[in-house]
Amino acid sequence: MGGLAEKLKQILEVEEEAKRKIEEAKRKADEMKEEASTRAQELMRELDSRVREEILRIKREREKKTEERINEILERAREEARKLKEEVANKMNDAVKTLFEKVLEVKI
Amino acid sequence: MKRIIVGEEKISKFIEEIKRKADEEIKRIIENAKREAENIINRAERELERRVEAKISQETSSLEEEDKRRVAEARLEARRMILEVKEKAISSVFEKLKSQLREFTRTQDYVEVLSKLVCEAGIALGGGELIVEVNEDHKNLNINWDEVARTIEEKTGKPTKISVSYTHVSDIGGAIVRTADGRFTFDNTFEGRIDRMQKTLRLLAAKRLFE
Repeated sequence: MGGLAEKLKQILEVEEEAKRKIEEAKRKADEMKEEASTRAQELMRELDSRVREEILRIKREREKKTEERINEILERAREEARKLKEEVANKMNDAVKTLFEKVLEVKI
Repeated sequence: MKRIIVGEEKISKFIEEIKRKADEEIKRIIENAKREAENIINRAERELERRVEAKISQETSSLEEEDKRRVAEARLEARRMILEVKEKAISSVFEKLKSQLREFTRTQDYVEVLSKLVCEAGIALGGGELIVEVNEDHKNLNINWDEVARTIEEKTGKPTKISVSYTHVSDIGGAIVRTADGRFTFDNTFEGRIDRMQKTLRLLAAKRLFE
């Protein structure tokens, strides 16, 4: 009987140990979930800075492209204006002559 | 003795079974927790991405508007640059025209043109008693006023008499003709003509210069 009692005691101890380990595992599981929730909250708190960084990056990219586009438009206009001035200089006398004749065109 | 051994074996197996089940339970609990933790993080990351994208899309749309506005301004500025060149060219044509007309008033041909200008004005006023105002320095010009009056008379069918007044009427030349009663005036100075013909002249200049 002494052996059996010993065995029963052993069973109880193993069961206790198993329960303890399971409880420990549950605590660990709760901790893991808690950590995950905390991390999730941290991620949400990162939202503003993430958005700010991303917007800044997009803004810089767009700014560069827009500046290039604007410079291109203005440069093209300057070139067109320069050519126009040359063309106009060559046609000036002809235009003055035409207007001169028109002003002197007196109908009686 | 044999029965006790069998009992011991069963008990040992039972203990092993308890340990195995406990290990399985622990493994299940930890795996579930890992999965759940991963899900929490994944959900948070997805939500974060969604919110980031939504905010960025909102902000980008206002950036786009700003870019469009700046590009449109640049296009306007470009157009303004070209228009400025054109406007300056047209102004230059008018300046040169006035200068050329001023030179023309010092030539012999001007006498004939001035006579025609007075005739045109006189006819437009319907003839009759007319006062012709010309610049003081026109006193020396050899204009046959009787012939001018005759031409007006022929065209209007109304007896015409011209009185000439020498005063400053123009920086260039030409004449101002008034009816003697002062009711009607015809400004046929070159400035007056240019003003009246402004639209036509600008159009002509633009055609000559830019086409």
